[in-house]
Amino acid sequence: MQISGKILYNKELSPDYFRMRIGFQDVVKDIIPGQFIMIRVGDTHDPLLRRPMGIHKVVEDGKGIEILYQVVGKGTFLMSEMRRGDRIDLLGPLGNGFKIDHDMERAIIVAGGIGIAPMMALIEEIKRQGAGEKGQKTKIKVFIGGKTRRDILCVDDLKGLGADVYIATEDGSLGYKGVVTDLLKESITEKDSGFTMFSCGPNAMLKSTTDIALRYNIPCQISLDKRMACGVGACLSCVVKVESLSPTPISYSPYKCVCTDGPVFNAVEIVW
Amino acid sequence: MNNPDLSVNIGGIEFKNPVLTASGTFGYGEEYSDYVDLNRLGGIVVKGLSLEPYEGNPPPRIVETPAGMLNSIGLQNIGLNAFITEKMPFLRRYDTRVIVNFFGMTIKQYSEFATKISDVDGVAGLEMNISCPNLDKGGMIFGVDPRLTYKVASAVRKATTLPLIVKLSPNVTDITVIARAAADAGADAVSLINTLLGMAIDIDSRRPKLANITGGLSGPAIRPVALRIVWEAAKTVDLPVIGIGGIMTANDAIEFMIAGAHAVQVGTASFVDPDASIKIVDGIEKYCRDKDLTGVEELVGSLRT
Repeated sequence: MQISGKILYNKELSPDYFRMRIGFQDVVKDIIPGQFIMIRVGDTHDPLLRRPMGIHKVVEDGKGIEILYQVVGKGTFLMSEMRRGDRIDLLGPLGNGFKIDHDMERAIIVAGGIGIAPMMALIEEIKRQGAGEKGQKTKIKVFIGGKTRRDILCVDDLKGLGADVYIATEDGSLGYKGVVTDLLKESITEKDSGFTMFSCGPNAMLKSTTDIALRYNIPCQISLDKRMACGVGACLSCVVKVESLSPTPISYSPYKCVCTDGPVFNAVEIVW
Repeated sequence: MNNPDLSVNIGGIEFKNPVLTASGTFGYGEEYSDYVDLNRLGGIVVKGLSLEPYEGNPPPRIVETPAGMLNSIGLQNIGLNAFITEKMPFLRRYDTRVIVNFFGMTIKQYSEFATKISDVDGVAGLEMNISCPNLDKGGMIFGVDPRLTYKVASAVRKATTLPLIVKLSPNVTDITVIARAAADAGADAVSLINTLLGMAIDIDSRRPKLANITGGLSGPAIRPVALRIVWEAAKTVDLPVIGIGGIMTANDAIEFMIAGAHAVQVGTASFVDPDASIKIVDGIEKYCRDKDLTGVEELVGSLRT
């Protein structure tokens, strides 16, 4: 769906990290956490392509969404200059989201830097669907990592949702000193095998997370972020290599599209 | 107020309007059907097909450049059989012309493909890709040598009675030589340009930004080059020309038609705005009306020099 949204706010949370709330004219139903949108960042031809952005939060059952983004180049810089009231052209919701078991009791979330973006929507949905009244019985552990404390976002929001938050920074400026997957490795035990794991972040982090999940036999879903042009499965730019053993809808190819086959994948599928 | 006639005839194919979606940028139509009323398109040129499924190049396959993008997809496709059984039934439901873009590694593969697709119901014509810069074998090799262009186009001509469009590469010194070779071989039309061979480097890692090292440049950045090449080809060969290259708006499309194109293909613009091709149809119609033209064909090759 092509949507003309209106920016309700666009504010800097931490240097270079922004949260944007976009309101829709008509309610967009059935947005699934893990899905993304393609944003047009301007009317000129430079930058040319839309930018894929994970949905950070679903606002009031689809009256809008929030996205969380990091300024890394010209496109995201232009987004950061957008103001309340501006119109914004987007395609979405796109792709396949996280699969959440009804009455899920335990979830581990592993996020690196801006990889926390889709996790907020996920946690809210787990709370809605999880075990007990309003998912109160669902235990959620969030491991969040970054280079410095500035890369650690949404901690209060996460705690507000009742999650246990474990923080790692590479420079030690907040929480555990080191990479988040080392913290995860130290914290996880055989007892955690009843958890489901969800992860989003840099490739190296996702790979380590997958290794840990495999070792403890924990099912793990990962959300991938790749450069793409169309977002709808036409250009075949955003492909990732998948295990040939896994059943694939595009059996002619060792590749799957992040946009239409993902962005959420079963971690064991991916060839790193 | 007059109602301008937007239809064009290219090599025996009657298109309701001169706007087609370019191969590789619109999948098999299905991908964009939620965003675009496919019935309003002059035609859909499907993603390049080969006899057998083809896996394409390793990622990363794309990099954005100023007002453009480089791709090195490498013609990943589902193969002819899957296209016929899985994609054609969908495409047949629409009132638009389906042009099948195809490629091979050898002349034999090209002609075999042409033979096999000829009986498929709903295929209006073929676009033969001899210009993809992302293949080691086949692809562009045929399109940069006039003798090979003639040879492969002749073989395909013998293999099918379907209208045959030959898609040409801009990565040549003189397009007119190649265009003539295609015409001599019996092509019904030529389409151009395919992407311009390009490259981008990450200066921190000193690695190419594409795994394939080089890729094809598309988007508005290439439009003036494309326009010049279309103009050169159109005044040289006595065949209809389909103009391609960075067309984003109706004004861009009209420029190509004035330069000599009978129709245009919209490619990268669909990524930016899925509905771009429809806006171009509407814009061309409005232009014809404003300029009091009876039909869009009046525009073709009307350049005043």
